[in-house]
Amino acid sequence: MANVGLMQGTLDLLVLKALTWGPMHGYAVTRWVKDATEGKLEIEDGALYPALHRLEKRGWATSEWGVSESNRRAKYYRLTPEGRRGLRQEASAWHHYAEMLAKVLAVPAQGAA
Amino acid sequence: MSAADGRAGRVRRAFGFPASRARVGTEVDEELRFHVDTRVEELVARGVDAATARATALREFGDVPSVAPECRELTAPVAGRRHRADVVDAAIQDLAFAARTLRRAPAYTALAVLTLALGIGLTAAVFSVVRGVLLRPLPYPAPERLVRLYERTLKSDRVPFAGANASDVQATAHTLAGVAYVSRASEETVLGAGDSRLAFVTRASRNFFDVMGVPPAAGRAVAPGEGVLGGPQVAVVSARFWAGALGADPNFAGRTLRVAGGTYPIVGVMPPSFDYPLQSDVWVTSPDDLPSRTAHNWAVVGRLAPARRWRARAPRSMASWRGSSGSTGRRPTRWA
Repeated sequence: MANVGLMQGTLDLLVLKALTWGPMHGYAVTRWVKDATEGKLEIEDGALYPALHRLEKRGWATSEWGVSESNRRAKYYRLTPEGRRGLRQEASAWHHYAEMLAKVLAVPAQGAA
Repeated sequence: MSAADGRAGRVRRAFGFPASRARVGTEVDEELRFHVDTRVEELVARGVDAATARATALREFGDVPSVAPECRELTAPVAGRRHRADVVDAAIQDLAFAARTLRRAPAYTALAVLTLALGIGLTAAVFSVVRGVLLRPLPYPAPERLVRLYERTLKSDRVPFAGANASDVQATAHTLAGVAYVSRASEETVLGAGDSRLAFVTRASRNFFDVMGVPPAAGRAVAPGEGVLGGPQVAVVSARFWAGALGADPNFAGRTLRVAGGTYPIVGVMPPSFDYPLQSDVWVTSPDDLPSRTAHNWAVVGRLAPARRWRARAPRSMASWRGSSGSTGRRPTRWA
């Protein structure tokens, strides 16, 4: 299993999680996700930026122009307290969902054993 | 950003308009360009040649032409919100700066505050006078048709009327629908309202309230047959006198006042707004029983007749009255 396709609804969660590490620009977010998943999960750039802007519109993140490591103007996103709260809620919902799914998949097939 | 752009931006900021669509667009483009460029740099650092690196980065990014508008759409309201916050911040900073500057120059500040305080105070004072004197209407119906009449003598242009002259005007002035005379309010002893008391008493012709156009608030005005020479005389009291001296007596109509030897049954109470001559507590009817052309004691008020009649009759009435006053042997006085 190499590059896992991104499941619907998980992108915002990943971005929020990345931003808990501090203010980041979009490129840093993709790099963080790649590193965190050891290169197995890649965010599609074309979807990342609308996600960032969507979070900002919801008030879960704020943005600010800053200077990047390469000394260029870059837009940095920072998690707001509401964003932190939202991440906690969505993360627990995902844990719950994943547990359920794991349980369901662990049920042996009918007739076997 | 071009010079014109900068000017437009300043104007937008000055009037608190949200960030322009153009600016939001530029920011989104810059943000996306940064992403692609950074990826290109990374690939080049790994030994990929520039052209290939750019092609790869763009391919990885995906559909730039559709991403940019989507971001722009999402950002526009955010930019507007942030822009308004900036405006408020700037205003607060400006105020703080002004406060610090003023604190550093206390004498100048005191002078400025004093100037403002005096200016505002004076304006308010002048306006309240203007409102009371010029703007607030008089408490009489059609006040623009009420006139004060004076006699003119060699010595003065404004002399109160002598009784006989007032009677002549009453009898002959066709330009006036009604002419009444009234004395000044003078402080006199009034009996019949509890203890004997001092009150401002005004003597008035029987038609005074008609000419003013104000009926009593309670009771009635002077009835036919009252206030004429040899007939019964009556009193009308002010709302203030009724509430105070008469204890707001609902049966005031049965009471009689005695003023300077005369007895005056109370027939009416005027509304609180009616205060002419100023401070009057009691108006008593007074037929002029000793008409004089030398005792100038009466204020004369008139109500103008409808304009058409006035123009048609004016010359004749002036002439006829001048003739009659001339017969007294004094220099003719004229009413204006």
